[in-house]
Amino acid sequence: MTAIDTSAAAPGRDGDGTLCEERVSTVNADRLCTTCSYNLTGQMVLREPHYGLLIVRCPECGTVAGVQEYPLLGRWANRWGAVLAALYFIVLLGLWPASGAAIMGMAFGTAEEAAHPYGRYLNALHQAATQAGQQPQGTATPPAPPTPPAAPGAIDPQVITRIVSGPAIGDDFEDWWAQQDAQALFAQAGGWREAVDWRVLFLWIPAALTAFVTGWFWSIALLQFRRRWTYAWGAMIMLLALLFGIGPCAEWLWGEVWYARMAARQQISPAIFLATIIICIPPLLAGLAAGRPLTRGLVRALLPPGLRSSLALLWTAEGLPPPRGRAARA
Amino acid sequence: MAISHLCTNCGSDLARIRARREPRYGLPLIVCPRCGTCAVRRRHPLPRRYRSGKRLMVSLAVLVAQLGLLVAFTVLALVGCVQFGDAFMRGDIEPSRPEMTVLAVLSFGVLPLALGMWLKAGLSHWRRPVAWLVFALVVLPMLSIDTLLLPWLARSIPSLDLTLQWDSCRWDLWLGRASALAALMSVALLGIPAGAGLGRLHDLARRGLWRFRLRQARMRRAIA
Repeated sequence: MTAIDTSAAAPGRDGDGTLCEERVSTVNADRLCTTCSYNLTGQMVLREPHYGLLIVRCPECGTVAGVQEYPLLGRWANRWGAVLAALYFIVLLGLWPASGAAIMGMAFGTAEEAAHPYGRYLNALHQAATQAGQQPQGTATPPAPPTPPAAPGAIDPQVITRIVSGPAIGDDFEDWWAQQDAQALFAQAGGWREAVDWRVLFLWIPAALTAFVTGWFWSIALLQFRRRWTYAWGAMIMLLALLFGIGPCAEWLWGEVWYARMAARQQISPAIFLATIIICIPPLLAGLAAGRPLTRGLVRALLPPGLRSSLALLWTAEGLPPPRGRAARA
Repeated sequence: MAISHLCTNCGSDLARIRARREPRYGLPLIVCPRCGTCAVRRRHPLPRRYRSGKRLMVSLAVLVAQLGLLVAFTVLALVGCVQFGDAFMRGDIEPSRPEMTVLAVLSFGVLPLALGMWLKAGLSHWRRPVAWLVFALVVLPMLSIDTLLLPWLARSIPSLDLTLQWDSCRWDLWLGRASALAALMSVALLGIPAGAGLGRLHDLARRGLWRFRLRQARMRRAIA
């Protein structure tokens, strides 16, 4: 035992090489084979007879790993590790506002869409009032009574064209709107039940999907976080989405009203925006909660056992036993 | 300055001793000159992590490829079933049209055979009938979205004002599509033996590669 046994043959050649190995304990943690990356967890730690070393044999490729190791004091591994960690941190830091912006964008689009019928209704009212004002005094007729918002298919194409292009700045809508009782007009249009385009419910589906995928992504990106901390991170994302939404909401509520659609957004969009943000919270939390189990399920379903070991972190990060191959199961 | 490496038995510093590749296990071994205790030098973590990272990339690439295949097969199966199921129920199938024949061969010949091969060779870790059954059960509800689900939704909630192709549930079309799916999945069964052969070929190739590597390693040790 005092010198390297240069005359020793490869394992198994003399027939008793593995028979004399003393079983010492079992590998309980995550340790990958250096040759094939098979996860050695559950394998026996052996005291080999030649040098008295503690070793573990890979059941897949037979490579021997020495487990009696010394800490490495070289600095470059740590330096590179720090660089990679910093890069990862920066990328995650950039993706945090991106996640908030994605949810805010969905909520913003939904809020704008919901106000369209009421915008058309206000525009029709304004047109009717303008036409009545332009008629000669002798033949004046009372303006036509306003009709509640019609279904999108029934709108006059000319009116739609006017809405899309919008009147020129300096038109009299701003003055007309200042003279109106906004709440009364909203109630006259049917209130929240009739004036809002409730087909936005369908836009909540992609919004909820976006939130779910965002939650799924963060549950994997923050793998070292405990579950409850990932929920806290979800709250941070929603907070950021709300912060991003302050600008558009302020514009809707207190901005100048030049067109009918702006007036419609003033009354409808902030509430729908908030509602969409609130609607996005459960899917985001669901994504955070189910992201890791779903990913583990996908890995189990689509990857053969030999390739799962390098993704063992998905299991070990939550204290679960890492995936085992067929050999280990047998 | 070399990094200190103390013998666990007698405390001698082994830093200046060069590790030799031990012929029996292939480990970088150090023998203490004072007490004869053996120790293994640790491999540098950078190349080890590089290898782990490479392995991780391979796993992720396979995962993405498998997901892509799953999506591609699902979409193609859906398109084939919808096109031919609806055409069959409407009586629009004209075998005399060459493009129709080509599409039929692609949808009910090439596609299901490739699907069967993938279900066997790509998902070989699944028990035999499960992958086939799960795939059919994933596609079947998707075929009923526009024929059953949306018309039912439009009828149940009229205020949604949905513009749909059909006003009421079309069980006849759904049955045509389901029959097309049954035909497609039946042909997919024929692809399973081919997939099994492909899987065996892959295993043989892998074993051959490992044998080659082991032979090379033994030759290197013998030369050393």
